[in-house]
Amino acid sequence: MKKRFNVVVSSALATVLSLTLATGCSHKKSTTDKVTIAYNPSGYGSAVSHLMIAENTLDKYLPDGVTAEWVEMSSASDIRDALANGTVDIAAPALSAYISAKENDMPITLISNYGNAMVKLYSCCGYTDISDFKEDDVLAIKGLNTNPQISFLAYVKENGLDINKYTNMLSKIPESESLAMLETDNGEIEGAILSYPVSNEAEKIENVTLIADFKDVIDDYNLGNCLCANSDFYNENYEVVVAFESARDEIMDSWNSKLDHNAQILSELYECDKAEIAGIMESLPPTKEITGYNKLSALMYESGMLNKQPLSFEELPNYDKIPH
Amino acid sequence: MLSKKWFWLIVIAITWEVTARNGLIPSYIFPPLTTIMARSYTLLRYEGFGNVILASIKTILHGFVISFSAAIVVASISGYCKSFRTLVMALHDILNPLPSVAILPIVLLVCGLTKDSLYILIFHAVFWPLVATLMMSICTIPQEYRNFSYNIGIPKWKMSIFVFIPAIFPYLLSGVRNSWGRAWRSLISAEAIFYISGSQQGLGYWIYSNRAYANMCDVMVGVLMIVLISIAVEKMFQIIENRTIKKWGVTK
Repeated sequence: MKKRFNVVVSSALATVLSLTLATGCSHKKSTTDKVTIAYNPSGYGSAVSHLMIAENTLDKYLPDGVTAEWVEMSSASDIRDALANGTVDIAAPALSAYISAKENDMPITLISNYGNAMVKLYSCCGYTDISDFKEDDVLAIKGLNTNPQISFLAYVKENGLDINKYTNMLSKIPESESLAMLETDNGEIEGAILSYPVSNEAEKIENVTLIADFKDVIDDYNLGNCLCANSDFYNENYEVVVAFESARDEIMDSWNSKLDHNAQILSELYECDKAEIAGIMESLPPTKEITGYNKLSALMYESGMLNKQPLSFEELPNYDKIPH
Repeated sequence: MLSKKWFWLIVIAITWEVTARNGLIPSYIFPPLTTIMARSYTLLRYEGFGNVILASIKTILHGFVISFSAAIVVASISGYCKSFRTLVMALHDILNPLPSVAILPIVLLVCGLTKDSLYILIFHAVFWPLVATLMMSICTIPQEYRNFSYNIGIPKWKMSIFVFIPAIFPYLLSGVRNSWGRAWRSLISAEAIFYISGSQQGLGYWIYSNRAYANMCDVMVGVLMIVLISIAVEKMFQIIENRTIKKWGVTK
């Protein structure tokens, strides 16, 4: 009798423990007095957030009693996971990170497009064309499922090159280290895929040559950052999401009208020339419209990043609310 | 009659399956166990997942053989030379407590993003505990064994094979077991932290890359494989133990 009792108690404890472990780590808030927003401190795709922080724009729109907390996160996967478990309420991960989250049932809601990526491929060993790279060459990339990786993949596909060959060349190296490796040309890497503003630094290095600018595929595949919220937060605190959208609109509306002022802020942040960043801001302004969702998800499916046929953009639950 | 261990494993598996199927645990955190098992089969049968497992096993075996050979040589030399033994022990005291991942930045700086870095990490994980165990075991060979061997006049090579190796075998086996565990953990961590270009990526990279694509089912397949390989190796050590030192009556 006592033995059976022990078994029952142990089973119950094991069940409670496993449930606590699995569900107890998520941070769910029904009502909020603080909104936590993650942003990439150095990517051009998060320029709207950088200006929003510098100008304190969000506080004007937030409901009374709600404060904003900005947290720095540079990895798309970390941002996506933080959104899914509720440690972050609003963030702007890469659109590809959102698609993989959606296809794996993570509770993340897409709100709009947020910023565009600027990615280029460089070489340090005298190559002038992407076809010059050999199979055992190494190409540095900052991470998987990031705008640089997806834009490279899209470029390879659009140019009819062997995806396997080029994918096998990729090595995960932080962009700042890739830059140093390009400069020293110590034979460790033959090329690097860099995003702005690090790409700008690469262009100043004498022995580094620009192999490809991925601008066309970035436009075609809508590669950049998208605005997302934790789904529970989106449903329960919609007024905070609307406030964020209003702040985003204010920044986007003043993008060109206050170009000089905005360029000054970003040039200090990215440590680059004001005229140069102003030029980029003019040619690559942030947009709200999601345009290449289906093309991007198809590319991700074809290249094995998704295990099942992805939902089309039109099938997203809040499709009507997403600018397109 | 099922053993208690199996009983609990089955309880855990059923709890996992039921809670995942009922949505008590979101599928992006813990996919149902049956889904993971079905996915493992598909990956192994059709999608070349076996190559990923082989890549990790090959790397650890290469690294292990190098480290094991070096440990045998160093332990043997230190058996004859006291000052060398003191030096090795001093280095052991400094380096053994360091986890392999802690020296990863230095290794990457020296060797770059190559397989050599992985071999060095495995070497670090295996060599120090193994060399310490071997040195200790050589010192603990009873003097009577040596005296008896000299008295009956058997050659030195026979003495090594038939007297010394059986005498140190319990320590050797325990050292190999311990260092294999350290090497396995170091390899998986290192593969997850950085990955080398090329198609031969191991289980750590598999977990990292599938995490990047939010593919938790494939992440769990990788985790499951690590567990299964660890259990299989542990079983192998148990078989060796049963057929050697237990059979010889060195331990019960």
